[in-house]
Amino acid sequence: MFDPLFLSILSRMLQGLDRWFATEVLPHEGLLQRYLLHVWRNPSEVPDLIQEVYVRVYERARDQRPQQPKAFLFATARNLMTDYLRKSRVVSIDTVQEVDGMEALIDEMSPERHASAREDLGRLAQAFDSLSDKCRDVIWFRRVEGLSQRETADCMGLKEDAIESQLARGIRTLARAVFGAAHETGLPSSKAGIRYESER
Amino acid sequence: MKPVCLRPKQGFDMSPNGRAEDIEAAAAAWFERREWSNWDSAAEQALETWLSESTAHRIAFLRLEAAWERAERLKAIGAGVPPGRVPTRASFGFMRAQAAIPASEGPAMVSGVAHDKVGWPAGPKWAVGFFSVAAVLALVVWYHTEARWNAYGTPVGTIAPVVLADGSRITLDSNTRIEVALDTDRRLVRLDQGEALFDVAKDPMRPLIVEVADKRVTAVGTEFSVRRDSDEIRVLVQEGRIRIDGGRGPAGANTAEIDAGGEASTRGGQIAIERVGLTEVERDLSWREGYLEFHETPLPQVVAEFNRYRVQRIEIDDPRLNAIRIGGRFRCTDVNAFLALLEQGFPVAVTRNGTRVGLHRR
Repeated sequence: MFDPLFLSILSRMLQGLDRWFATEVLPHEGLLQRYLLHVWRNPSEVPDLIQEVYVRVYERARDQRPQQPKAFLFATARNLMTDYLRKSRVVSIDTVQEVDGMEALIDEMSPERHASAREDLGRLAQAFDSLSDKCRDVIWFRRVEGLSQRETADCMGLKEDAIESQLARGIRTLARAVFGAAHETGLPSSKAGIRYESER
Repeated sequence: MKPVCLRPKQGFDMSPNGRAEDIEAAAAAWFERREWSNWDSAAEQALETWLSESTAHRIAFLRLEAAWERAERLKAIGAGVPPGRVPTRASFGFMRAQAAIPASEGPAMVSGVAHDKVGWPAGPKWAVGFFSVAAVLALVVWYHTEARWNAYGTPVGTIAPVVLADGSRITLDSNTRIEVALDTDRRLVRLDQGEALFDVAKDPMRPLIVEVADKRVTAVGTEFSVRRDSDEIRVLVQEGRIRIDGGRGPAGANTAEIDAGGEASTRGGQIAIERVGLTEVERDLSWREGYLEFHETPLPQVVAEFNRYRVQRIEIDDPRLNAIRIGGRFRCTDVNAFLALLEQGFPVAVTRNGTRVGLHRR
């Protein structure tokens, strides 16, 4: 999915379970997100769903690392949805099986399967360009030139507290570009009749 | 297909760990605060507490850390932009144009983007475009039109791995340049500058030879690093055994074999072998994980190590500070933690003038 170089750089920075999670689970975030957006009615709940899926995967992996992280991730997502839906008593078991079938479909259409490192970079650059001027400058000096927060402020002719929260804002945007891949490609829209949606 | 609504009833708790949005915001705030100059051990403790409060916190934080590492690629997009300047937004336009080029262009290489028959044309525009493509791998790779050598390099502040076609992995430290030629009977690497760690794929029929200055380091299947400072070299062996031979005198006259845990270094062309032990070798190779580790290391040497990762150098302005010895483990790129420790633990004042960092005696 991501190029091996990126993964190996990552693997040197984080340790143990965190490293495993960053290299084996996080790269599927874009796919997971699109999958959930597809089968889950309320898109605004998807970030929370993803968080819960992550927590379950991470805590399970603490005892034993799944052999197939991606399959485990999606199985966890399905189980989570099933749990929620069972508690809310809205869904039938048939639907869950339909949800199962979605995975293969989504996998086939997954843009990541063909995404090159170059496209990853394009997405990153696009996200970088989408930042405000100040935020973009801070990210540049900190990340590219390796300056400290204080040196960055100096470089911009500002006090350190004048650039407060810029880095925080920037990293969230970049993280979405790196893992979230929120751009619209590859999946059929709800018009294709795959989205489960009706009164009941 | 039976239409069903996949929607929990209202009021159902979707996020028992707290809202993802809020947790991400908190993680980002921690992530930033950690880089402030007033970051101290109390703040570190508070962060640890926050991280241990819930798995969701930990994941949100590690996700941002991983993204930050990933964002290092921006560095290579900026190749050609002078320090202290941020490229304009429009300057990435060329990159999107590049993205339209089919990925199959150029010869197949396991790692790196190669431009065959293109050479190294003059003209900043082309060069910038090329850097942007190479940037994808945080590596600069170019192709010699006349030879079978491939060159790989890292800019200052970047550590990057190279995977060769034979499966060997080479990790390049900051500001390093190597050239590689894989022949049928041997694998040749020239270390032009910097330091590289070799994890050599076993192939008894095809030894891997590192040429550095006038020395050769030969391995069959092992893990070792070679560092070059001008014409002096230093070899550390972590696993297996290597042979080093020098260029002076008849062949074999100046040859030594080094086992795991051994170090060979040269001074004035003479090779000195020392058994330093695996612990020290591990410590000296911690840069590959993005760390610098010291143990009673003299300050000038510590500063020199950090400077390998910085364009703007730290300078010791008072020679009396040279006697200070440092122990500890630091992130290569996080010079702040180191400077903070210096100021706390030693009679040292750090002055920043623009981007220059000077060390004085207090």
